[in-house]
Amino acid sequence: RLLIVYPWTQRFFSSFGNLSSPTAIVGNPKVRAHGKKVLTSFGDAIKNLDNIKGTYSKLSELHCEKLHVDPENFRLLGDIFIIVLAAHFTQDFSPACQATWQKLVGVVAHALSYKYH
Amino acid sequence: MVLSASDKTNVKGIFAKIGGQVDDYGAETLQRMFVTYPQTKTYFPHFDVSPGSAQVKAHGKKVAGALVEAVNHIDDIAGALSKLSDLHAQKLRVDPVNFKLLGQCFLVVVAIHQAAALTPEVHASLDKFLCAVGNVLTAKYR
Repeated sequence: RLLIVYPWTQRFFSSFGNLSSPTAIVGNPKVRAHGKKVLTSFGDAIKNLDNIKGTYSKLSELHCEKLHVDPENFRLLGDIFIIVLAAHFTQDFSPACQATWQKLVGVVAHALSYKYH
Repeated sequence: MVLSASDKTNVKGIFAKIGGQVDDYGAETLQRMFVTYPQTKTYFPHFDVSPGSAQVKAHGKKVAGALVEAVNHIDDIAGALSKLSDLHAQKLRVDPVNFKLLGQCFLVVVAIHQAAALTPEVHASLDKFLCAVGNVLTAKYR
């Protein structure tokens, strides 16, 4: 959804092959694999809620020094993740739940940009 | 950022599915916005913002009505919302960042109630549409 709703985010994934249409993106195995990587990493944050900055320290350096990702993109990803959660959990995704998760994605985005220089 | 023909079709389509429930969507959007982004409450010091508030319901209906108006005049959103644009520029002066927050909450509400209809393509179109509305409402700020 990130790559479809905010197509400029595709700039980081030129090695992923065919991203030419929503259908191509949805069916792209590299996109799927990367989605799994990202969500697994999110899981690490949840296992270490008291030290998210520490958990993402190396990843932050990587995103700055090697991947050169503008931290605004972490915000965009977080917003999209919220929508996906809402669609999957529907009524269970209460306002309080949404508020908490919006805070979490904000904290993750902050942690990922913390080591930028 | 321009709304393509398919964007317009997608937006009209999802609003048709929402139908008469759009007022409830508006109220739920505001309620979620106040909980998720508490700083947005600073624009409503005169409101009871507790869950189920009649004022929030009424205001949600207003917001929903404006979105529907924009959808019905999707080829000229600026024209359709011109008076609202003046109001926001001269009187309300809501900081532009808050329109994104409202938009995010509206998308969440649609995702919850119309999960199947909110395909990635429709999601993209609706996000663009909400951005366009926000841009129109802040266009005369300076």
